[in-house]
Amino acid sequence: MNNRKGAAKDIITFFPFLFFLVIIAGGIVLGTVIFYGSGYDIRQSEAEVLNYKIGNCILEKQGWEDNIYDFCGIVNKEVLGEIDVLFKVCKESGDCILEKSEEKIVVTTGGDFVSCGLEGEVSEGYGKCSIGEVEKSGVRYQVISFSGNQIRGENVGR
Amino acid sequence: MDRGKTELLSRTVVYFIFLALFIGGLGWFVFDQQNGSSFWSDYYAKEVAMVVNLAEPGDVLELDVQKATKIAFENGVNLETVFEVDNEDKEICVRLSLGRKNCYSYFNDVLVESNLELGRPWNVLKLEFSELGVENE
Repeated sequence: MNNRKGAAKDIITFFPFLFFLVIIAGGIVLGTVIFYGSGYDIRQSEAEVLNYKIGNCILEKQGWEDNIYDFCGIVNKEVLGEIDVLFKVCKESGDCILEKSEEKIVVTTGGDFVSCGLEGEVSEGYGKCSIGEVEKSGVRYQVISFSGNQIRGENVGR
Repeated sequence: MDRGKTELLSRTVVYFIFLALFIGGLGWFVFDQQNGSSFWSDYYAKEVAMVVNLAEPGDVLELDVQKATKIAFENGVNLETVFEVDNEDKEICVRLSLGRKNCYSYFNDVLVESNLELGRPWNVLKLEFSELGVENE
C-alpha cells in the first residue's frame, strides 16, 4: 500500500516537471524562430515585377493579346498556376479585381483575386498583389498580378 | 543503502536524464538555427529567382555568394551542388546543408546558365541569360 502511494506521488511530481520543460522549450523555440526564421518574403516584389513586365509589354509589343506568355516572356499558364503566380488584364474596367465580363477581361490565368481588394491588415497567409494601369492608343488597361509563391524544401541524398 | 534512498536516487537519475535530453535537444535546435543554413538557403533561392525574373536575354550577372558557400563548406556540402538552376521546371535550388535543399520558382521564360566561380576574390555565381532555344556560346 505504501509503495502504491509512493508511485502515485512520483507521477504527481513528474507531470509538473514535464509541463515546465514543455513551456520552457516552447518559449525558446518560438523566440528562436521569430529571431532567425521569420522567413524572407519576396512575394510583393514578385507581384510588382510581374505587373511591370506585363505593363511594359502591353506598351511596347503589338499583338500581345494573342499570346501574352510568348510575347511578354512569361512561363505558360499551367506553370504559373502550379507556383501560384497569377495575373489578370482588363480593358476599360471599373474594377478589374471583381470583373466578370468576358469583353472586359483581355487575358487571365484564372484564379481568385478577391484578396487583392481587401483593405487594412491582410493575413500573411494570403498572397501579395500589385495593381497597375497603362494606357495605349486611348485604351486603359488594368493589370492585377498576384504572388503566393512558396519555398519548397526537398530532401536530397548526401 | 536503504530502500527509500535507492528510490530517491533512481527518481533523481530519471529526472536528470530527461533534463539532459531536453537541454541537448534545445541546444541542437538553436545551433541549427544559428548556423543559418535554413534561413540562408531560403534567402539565396528567393534572391536568385528574383534576379532571374528581372533579367533579359543577353544579360550576364554576377552575384556575391560568399556567405552561402561559407555555410555550405562548413556543413560539408560539395560546392558544385550549392546552386542548381532547373530550366525545365523553372526553379532555383540552394543546398547549404547535407540532405536538404530549398527551391523557389521563377516566371521569366528565359534560359539560364549558371556557373559558380571561386576566389575572385569572393565567390560569385555567374548567371547568363539567353532566349529559349538560343544557347550561349
